[in-house]
Amino acid sequence: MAAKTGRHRLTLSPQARSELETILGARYVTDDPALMSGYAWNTGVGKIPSGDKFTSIWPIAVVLPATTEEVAAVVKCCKRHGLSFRPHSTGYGSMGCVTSPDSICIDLRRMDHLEILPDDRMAVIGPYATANQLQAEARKHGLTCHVVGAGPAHSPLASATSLIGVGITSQFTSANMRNMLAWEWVTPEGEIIRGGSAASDLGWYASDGPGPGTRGLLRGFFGGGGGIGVFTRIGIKLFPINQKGEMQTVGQVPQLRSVLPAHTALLHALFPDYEAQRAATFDLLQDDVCTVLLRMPPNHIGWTLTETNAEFVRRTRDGTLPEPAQLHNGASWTILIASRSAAEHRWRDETVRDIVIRHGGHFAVLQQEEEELLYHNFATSQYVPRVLRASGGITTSFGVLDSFHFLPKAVEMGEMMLAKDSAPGGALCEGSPDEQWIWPHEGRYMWGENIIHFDATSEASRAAGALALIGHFAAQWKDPVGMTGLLVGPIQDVTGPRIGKAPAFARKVKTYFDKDDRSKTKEYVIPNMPPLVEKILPALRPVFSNQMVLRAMSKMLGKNGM
Amino acid sequence: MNDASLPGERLASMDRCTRCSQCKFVPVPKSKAHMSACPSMDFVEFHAGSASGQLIMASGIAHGEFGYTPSMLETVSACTMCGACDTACKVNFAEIVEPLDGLYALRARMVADGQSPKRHREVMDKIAAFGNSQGLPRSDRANWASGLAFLPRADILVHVGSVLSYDTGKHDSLQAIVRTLQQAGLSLAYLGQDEGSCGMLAWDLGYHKQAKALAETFIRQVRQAGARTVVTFSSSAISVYRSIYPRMGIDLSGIRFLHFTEFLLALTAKGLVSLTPSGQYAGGTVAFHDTCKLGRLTEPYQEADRSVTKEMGGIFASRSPQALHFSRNGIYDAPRALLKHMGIEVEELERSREFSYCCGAQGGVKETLPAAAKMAARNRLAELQETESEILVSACGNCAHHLGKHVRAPATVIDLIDILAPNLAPCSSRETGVTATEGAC
Ligand SMILES: Cc1cc2nc3c(=O)[nH]c(=O)nc-3n(C[C@H](O)[C@H](O)[C@H](O)COP(=O)(O)OP(=O)(O)OC[C@H]3O[C@@H](n4cnc5c(N)ncnc54)[C@H](O)[C@@H]3O)c2cc1C
Ligand code: SF4
Ligand code: SF4
Repeated sequence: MAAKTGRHRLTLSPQARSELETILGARYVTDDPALMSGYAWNTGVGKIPSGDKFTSIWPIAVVLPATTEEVAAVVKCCKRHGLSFRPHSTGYGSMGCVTSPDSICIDLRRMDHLEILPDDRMAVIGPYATANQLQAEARKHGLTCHVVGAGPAHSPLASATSLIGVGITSQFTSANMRNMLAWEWVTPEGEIIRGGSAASDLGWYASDGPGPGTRGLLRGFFGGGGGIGVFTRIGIKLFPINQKGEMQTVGQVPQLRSVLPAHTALLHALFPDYEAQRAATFDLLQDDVCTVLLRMPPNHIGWTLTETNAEFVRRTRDGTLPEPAQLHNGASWTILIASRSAAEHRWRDETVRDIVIRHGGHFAVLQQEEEELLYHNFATSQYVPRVLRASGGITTSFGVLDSFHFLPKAVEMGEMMLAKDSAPGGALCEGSPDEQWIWPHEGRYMWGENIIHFDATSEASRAAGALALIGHFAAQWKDPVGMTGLLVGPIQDVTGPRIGKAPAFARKVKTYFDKDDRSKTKEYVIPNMPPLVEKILPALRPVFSNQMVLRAMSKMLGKNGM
Repeated sequence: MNDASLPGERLASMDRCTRCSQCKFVPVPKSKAHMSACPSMDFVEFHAGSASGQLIMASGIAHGEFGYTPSMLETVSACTMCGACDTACKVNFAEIVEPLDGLYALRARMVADGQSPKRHREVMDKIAAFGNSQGLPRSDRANWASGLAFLPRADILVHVGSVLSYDTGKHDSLQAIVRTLQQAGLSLAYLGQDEGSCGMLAWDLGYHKQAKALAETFIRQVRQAGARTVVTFSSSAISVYRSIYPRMGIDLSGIRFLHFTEFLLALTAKGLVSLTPSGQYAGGTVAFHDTCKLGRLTEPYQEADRSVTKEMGGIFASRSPQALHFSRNGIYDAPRALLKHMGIEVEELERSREFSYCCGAQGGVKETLPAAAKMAARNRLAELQETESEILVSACGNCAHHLGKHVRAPATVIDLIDILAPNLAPCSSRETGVTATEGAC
């Protein structure tokens, strides 16, 4: 039971509080508004970082459990008191925000278990074993983990169980939705379940176990988004690298660099156009010569290579940014080759050079410091969050998850959405004509995501950002660019037949495990949707794709935030 | 606190916090055990304990989302104002958030709003009454110097600082070092019982007016003493001289501020004093604790237009990027070089130099929230276990004292002055051909 206060906030009943305090100790339960404010801060991808940033919905309380049993007890307590909950690992993806005022935010910070099993090339981690910690420990064994674009401070467990999982090194570190091994889960009813090999008490090495497979069931591509209980421990894959031990970090803040290990090269290939880049990509992947391939939009390379926005602006204006950061050089790959011997390295290096040149490309000349900066970013994903440095306001696009056949088309779609507004005088921040980050997964398919940046303090610019975001979906409905990766909530339902019965299936899973919708989120699937609405929503696609409707919706989003 | 009570630019910077949590970690951790940058987060555990959490609380108060609460005041008191968050945040966010300036602004607003925690007020009362935060009598401040003679006016003014002045265990070393300087022919002035608080703690607690008054008093004393160089034994003092006084609009022209480690290194280079291999420690290895104040927080503050403009359709660009703080020009090398001169090898802790982890002694935490200060010290001391060394050296009396209180045998914490004192000797000008005045300048 909870009492209402002003501003959509509820207060915890004395009984619920007393039970939570008994479970966790009073120190680890708070409903103090100041202490909870960090869990109601609306920023980051798709949010508006200015003005009134506090969400209208605050958690009713924030708790800090230390064990799986405590998590289960908290979840059961929620059930007893008719409350909801939202799991929170580091809170970068979700901003820690709850989506209903009766939700308890379960901050898993105290659950930071981290154990490396080098022989099995894996680790067992808790929700607060952040990527930087996992990587530091893995490196001691000549291994590394996949680090998603959120950068070193995010939770690989949250990523692997609950939110997307793609990252710039996916060519050799796969993606977190495929990196999860066995798992431990507190269901929305408070039951503790282990899956994969852990279900048989046989360790954490495999996601395959006697029961049903987990990936499609619990997360799909986008992830459970906090809507399907709390994951408390998982096994996660690690990947061998050609250097054992600490990163050899040099340079000064903010431009930390890493010395390239022996038999390692960082190349930046420039192509005459996207067709040539696509053709070269198939060869590069076919021969499996590259450790990492990344296409950053040129202006984002500029952000990485400059220590401040002021330097970026100055050097953009005076034309002194290096070749890869110049806007006309969008058709490019930054390539990392990490080999284990001189002979292997020679083969890879020569093959890459041959392929690039054969397709009409050439290599940009990089200073050693620039190479080391880009290498540092590859090794740690440290600078990817710089996407938020420029204007503080970014949003994303639909995410292309498909064959490299779609590369030119994805860029073209990005240009169609952005080029007018990202040109000088446009409604977005000035940038590249498209802002696609592109990379391959495991030598096969492509991930492409258009990162849109806007002036968060200007309503018109926010509206343009929103239009670019939702416009992407409408354009994608009309003329698909491969499979759409970032489908979530109502967008799945509106997208309809193209993704089969995915939302309806996810809804069944959700309803089966969480019929009262206690594990509350807007990042999973709309629960308990009447079949009629389920049917009608796809039919509304033409309405949502209508330019006037899109403009009206983006104006509204520009005014009120996303 | 209302919107108007935080300078617009500062509030806008706070509002730009992305809640990415990078301020909780050293930028490239070397292990899980020592990945934390933030002692306050380690103690509080809720996000509120981090720099980001504090900025968000400040923003919440400014935007009228909630009022001050006792928990908020306690949480803010756990922050040591060590600035590690600032260094980490700037790796990606350079000029757009600047958390440390936000933390300074938050504490200043708490004071202006009459919300300074009671224990902070008590510290300020002691500073006002006694010239030190411990409330120790002024009459004892110069006890360490008994038997030494100082000039009322001299080119060089020695400043000792509140911690060392009253730390009787350090008096012999302090005296030995100062005597050596005098034997080397240097004329020194010293304020004796008139030496007061440098203002660093007052600034950290948010009492910026009082900090400025203390600074003005001190600079007046320096000018009255005719000094052109101030040599301080206090890391708080060197930090406030270089990074805070210039913010206050005080005329510092013609005065140079040096930490004693820089001064001794310069004198050694000039041949005015010599350092012999340490009988006790030469050939051995010690780990070195970079004090936040001496390291990243001694980076000089440059007077500049600190605002950002919007360029290229909304990109926030600093008007004075050269004046941004990146923890680069702190005092990191001088203490290490002195140890080397004495034949002592320095082993780096995992979190060293600009990425050092605060031991909890600063920012009023030791005085107001001892449990938080103790946890920070224990966390820092645990790092020693990753090294071959059993000795942790600090060039700051405050850190050495605080860490020394919490260290467990066989590990020990040693104040650099205790290693220097027995190994420092004057070189006569006949031997070197350098006069004391030349050497000092
Ligand atoms: C600038 C930026 C760039 C990003 N780039 C990428 C990218 O390139 N690739 C990518 O995949 N993602 C990206 N993300 C999102 C990213 O996936 C998440 O930030 C991160 O992986 C999740 O970790 P977290 O600690 O931030 O999770 P949180 O924010 O704590 O949680 C994320 C979601 O998972 C749920 N959740 C968290 N922990 C648990 C748990 N233990 N059990 C069940 N549910 C849980 C939460 O409720 C929430 O819905 C980016 C985010 C930002 C802000
Ligand atoms: S203060 Fe900086 S590092 Fe910390 S959360 Fe905010 S933006 Fe990130
Ligand atoms: S100043 Fe130090 S203690 Fe305070 S928030 Fe920053 S890192 Fe944490």
